[in-house]
Amino acid sequence: MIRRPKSVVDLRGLPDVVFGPRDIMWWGTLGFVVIEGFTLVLCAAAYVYLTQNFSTWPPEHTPLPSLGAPTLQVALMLASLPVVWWTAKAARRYDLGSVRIGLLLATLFNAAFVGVRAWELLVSLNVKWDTNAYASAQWLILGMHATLLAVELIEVSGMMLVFYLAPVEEKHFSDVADMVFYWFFMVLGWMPLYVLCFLVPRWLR
Amino acid sequence: MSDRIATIPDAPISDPYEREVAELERTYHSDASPLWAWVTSVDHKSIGKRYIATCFVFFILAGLNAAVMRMQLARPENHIVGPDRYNQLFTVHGTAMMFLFAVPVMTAFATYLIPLMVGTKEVAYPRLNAFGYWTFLIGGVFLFVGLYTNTGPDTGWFSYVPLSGPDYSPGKRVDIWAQVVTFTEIAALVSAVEMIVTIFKMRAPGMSLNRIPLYVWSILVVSFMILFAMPSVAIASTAMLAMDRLVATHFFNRAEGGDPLLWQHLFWFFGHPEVYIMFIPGLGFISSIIETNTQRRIFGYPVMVLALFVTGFVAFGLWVHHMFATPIPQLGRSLFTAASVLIAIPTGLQIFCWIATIWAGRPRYTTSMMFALGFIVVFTIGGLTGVMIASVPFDLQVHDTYFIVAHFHYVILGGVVFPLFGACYLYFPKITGRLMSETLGRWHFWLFFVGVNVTFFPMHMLGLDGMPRRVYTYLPEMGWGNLNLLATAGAVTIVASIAVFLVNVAKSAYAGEVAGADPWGGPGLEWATTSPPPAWNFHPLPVVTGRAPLWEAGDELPVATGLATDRREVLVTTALDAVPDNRHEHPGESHWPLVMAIAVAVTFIGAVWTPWAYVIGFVISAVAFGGWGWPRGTKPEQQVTPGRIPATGAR
Repeated sequence: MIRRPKSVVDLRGLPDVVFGPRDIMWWGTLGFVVIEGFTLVLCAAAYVYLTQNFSTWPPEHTPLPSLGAPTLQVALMLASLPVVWWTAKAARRYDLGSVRIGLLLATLFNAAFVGVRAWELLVSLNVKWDTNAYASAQWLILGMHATLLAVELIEVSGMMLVFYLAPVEEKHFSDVADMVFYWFFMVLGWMPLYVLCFLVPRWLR
Repeated sequence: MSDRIATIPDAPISDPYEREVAELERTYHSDASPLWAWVTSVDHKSIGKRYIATCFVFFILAGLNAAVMRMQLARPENHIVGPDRYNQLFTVHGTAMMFLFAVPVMTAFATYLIPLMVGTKEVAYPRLNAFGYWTFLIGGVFLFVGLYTNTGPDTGWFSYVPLSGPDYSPGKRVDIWAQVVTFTEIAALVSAVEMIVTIFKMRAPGMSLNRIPLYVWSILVVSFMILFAMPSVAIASTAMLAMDRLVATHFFNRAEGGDPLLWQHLFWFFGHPEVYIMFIPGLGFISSIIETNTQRRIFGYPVMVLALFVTGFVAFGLWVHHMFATPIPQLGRSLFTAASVLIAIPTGLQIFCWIATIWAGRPRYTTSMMFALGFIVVFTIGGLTGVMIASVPFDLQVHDTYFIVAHFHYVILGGVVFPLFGACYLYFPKITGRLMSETLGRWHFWLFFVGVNVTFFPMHMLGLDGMPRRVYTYLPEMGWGNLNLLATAGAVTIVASIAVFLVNVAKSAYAGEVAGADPWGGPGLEWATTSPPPAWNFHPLPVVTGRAPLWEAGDELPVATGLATDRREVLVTTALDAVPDNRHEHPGESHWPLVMAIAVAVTFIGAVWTPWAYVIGFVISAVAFGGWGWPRGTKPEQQVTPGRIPATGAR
């Protein structure tokens, strides 16, 4: 049957730049937050599962992890939150100058996270991944979260370059707000893992 | 409706409409050569078609593996292939059927159909969609290159450690398996996000959640399941098994505190939901087929939707029933037995709703309907044996025997392949504009139905008689020869049925009867546009007033006008009630999804040999990410300069 179209709705007045859950890019970010968040949960579950095979955690003759750099990492991460929050607020009012500064600071923070994470892996853990299952589990969690930090470094530095070098469009401000949403997940998601990897071994020893 | 939306009663659409369509043609046209336009296409229909075709190629290749295995087992002490080759054949058969066919073919159909069914122009992220396809393609080719160069994985589709660990499986065979899994998981995950956002945020105005077609519900449920199931196997294969083999981590090495059972937990936490991820879209297809072919709305819509959700939820509480032969606490066994029996209830409810629909409707016994009826028979038999093996004592008796092989083939062929073939006949006219031959379709159905039962029913008896799975031959004294010969005869019948199907596809694509927009008198929006649909699917967008929009529309279809035609604009609606909320500009053709997929390939294929591949792949990915995201500039008024605050809310 050929049906005659009958117009009942006009879409012309709708906005084409929106922020937060109204924007489909925000939903995509949420999807990847769920995937990556659940991946970290499963890594933590595997970590806890492996503790059953040892009478002490870490096993005997395996040194405890150092706390200096990991605690500095936590402090840096928490310190970054007000900065990115301020950046998101600037994005919502299309304040180009402030967003540029915010993205530059976020890039520096993110680069610092990656640098400190390398130090945590290579120095603070005090074990190589092939020492025993405890060491493998520690490397798994730090390494998995490191992939989030590294990929976010590409994103935030790329976004910074766009805001300094490319013709900035209105929709890019919405992308900045979504980036900040992901940033909160990346930072707050690390906090329980810091406890699991660096404090729990001290309590179980 | 939002107060921003003006209501225009009876606005005429005549010449301006023609001008808009002409402009859409310019907007969606690519100036590149046909090949490059195809490579860089981000059209969900183009991606969907190549995805479907690729899955069927892998289905045929994996099916040929099965055919060789059946020839080998046709009589005792056969020597067509030796044990080493046989191990590769069954491993690649299982891996390809699960990871390269059963799950992705459902993704492929959803990629094509979902935007049409929800009444929008595209999926939510067209370039991500293309990236998912290329990643899947490369991973699948990698598996078969391994097989054909005698480096095929050989430790079974679930690659249990310690057999698949570095001590018992030296060489690169298992590494290929572990990385192929990674490719397919990435493709599945991006597609799941794609589908969830498309369904939640891009439905046609008026398509509130209680008006979504059941097939769309099934894809929504499955997409959520993928988000929570796939990471488990990705960690187990890429971050643990591959690392145990590549850089000597000890996740599964008992001597250093690792645990082989951890593999089984992680694998089956993914593997069991995977079964439902495969067949829940099949259930959606069955609803579409029965609804269309009975010309009656599905009986018990709320029950059907709830049943899908319950199935999806309980599916995550079943994984340990694959591990009844391992040391599991008694309470755990009881719990997982109860859950395994429980899941039969929502599926049973759906079957009764379909039967009620057929009973109350005016069924047309088209080929697609025949496959839906075949599904009910074959899938129910598989479900019944599933309830049997949910019981621990019975499961221990038949564990690793051909009874299990019979059970899961009944479930998968019944729950996935029968609905899939039915969907092929139902949607082929939408995709190609031509109907498939019903005569060849009936030959296809009956050969397939008989072939499946003759192949797999005897395997129940073989299993009860003690024949273990995954043996390359057996002694004549075992008395398994006749039933195996019968099963091989069934396999030959299946091969014949697939040949008929392929002939039908080829013949109908060129010489089939022209279908028109709505050859079956279907209820959903996919039948409101031309066959095949234009690049923009709908113009103007349809507006939905009920659960079966075309049956309710009469001779006038309510539509929404006003989306831009000089750029690829889509409508974003609210998640619950589908009220128009904003307009979003979609990207055009791009080669960056392919470049990104190549970066992923360099990473994971390279990681079979060296961990430095992760570093190299990361650098290439960074470049691809830059190319993907760098603005190409849209309209000048969209650009922002310091000191000017753009007015949001209007263009």
